[in-house]
Amino acid sequence: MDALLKLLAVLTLIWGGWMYFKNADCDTELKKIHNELRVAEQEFSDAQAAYDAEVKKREALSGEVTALKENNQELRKEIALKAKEKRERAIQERRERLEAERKARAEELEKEQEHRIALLDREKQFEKEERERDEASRKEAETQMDAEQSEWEKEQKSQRLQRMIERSTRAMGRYLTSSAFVPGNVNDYGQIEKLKQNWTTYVRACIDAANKGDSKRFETFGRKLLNVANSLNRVSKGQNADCINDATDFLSEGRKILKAKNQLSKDNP
Amino acid sequence: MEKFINIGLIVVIIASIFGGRYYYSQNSNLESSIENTQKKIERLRKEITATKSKVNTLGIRQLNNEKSRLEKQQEQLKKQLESI
Repeated sequence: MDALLKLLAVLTLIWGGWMYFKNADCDTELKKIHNELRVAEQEFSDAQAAYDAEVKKREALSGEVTALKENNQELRKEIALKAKEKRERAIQERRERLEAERKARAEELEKEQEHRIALLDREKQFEKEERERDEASRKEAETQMDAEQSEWEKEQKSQRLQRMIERSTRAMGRYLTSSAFVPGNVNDYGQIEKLKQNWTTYVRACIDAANKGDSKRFETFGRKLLNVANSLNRVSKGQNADCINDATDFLSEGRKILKAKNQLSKDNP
Repeated sequence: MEKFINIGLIVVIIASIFGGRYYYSQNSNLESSIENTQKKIERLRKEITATKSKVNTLGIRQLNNEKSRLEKQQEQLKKQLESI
């Protein structure tokens, strides 16, 4: 019994001691584990802080990226706008340049047209003047020719009339004493002589009237001359019929002179 | 004498039993606590690993690359803008 008790006491003592030491080990282990836990918690905290920092960094980066994207988008819009403005400006400049060129070309064409018109006008004017000059010179020449012709014709006519007057005058002069005078009877000699003197007087008067162009006087004396010729023929009992012919021819010549004189006075007023 | 010894033994036995039982329960608690703590540590380590891996999934590098790409692009756009 004692031995069993002792054994039991030893065993319980061993067990208790073992439990005690195990407790100490456990305690140490627990402290160690707690240290590890603190380390782990610290690491976790660090990792969490790092994660939070990374998250913040990411948010910041994301914000920056977003800002950059927006900024780039704005830049693209601005570039597009500027490019559009540049294109529009270029188009406008090109349009203005083309418009200016068109205007300049139109002005040049207008000037050229005006110059051409002026040249044509000048040419027409020149042609007109030349035509007028030609016409004037032609008319002048024609006028001169006509005048010369007219003058020449007039002169010719005048000369012809003059010659005719001279010829008629000479012819009339031959009738101062008619060659056809026949004496007739002796008893009628005195009367015939008187008639012959009258004949001569009337012939002279007719020649004078004809030379002066006095047709009235010429016709008056012509009638008297015809009366004288008839009287001569009657007195000589028909032997002086030629006197009537002579008187008629004389008067005819005289009328020619009068007509010529009249024509001359018309031509040379 | 022998009685006293036996009583002493019995006292030792009883004290050992109570003491051992006390420490036994303490040890159980401690072991349980250790086990829980270890689990907690393990969980924390997993979380740390997960957190670190989550950091990798944040895409900071890609964002940095994107940022530098956008910065270069911005420089080019500014030059282009100036050139217009």
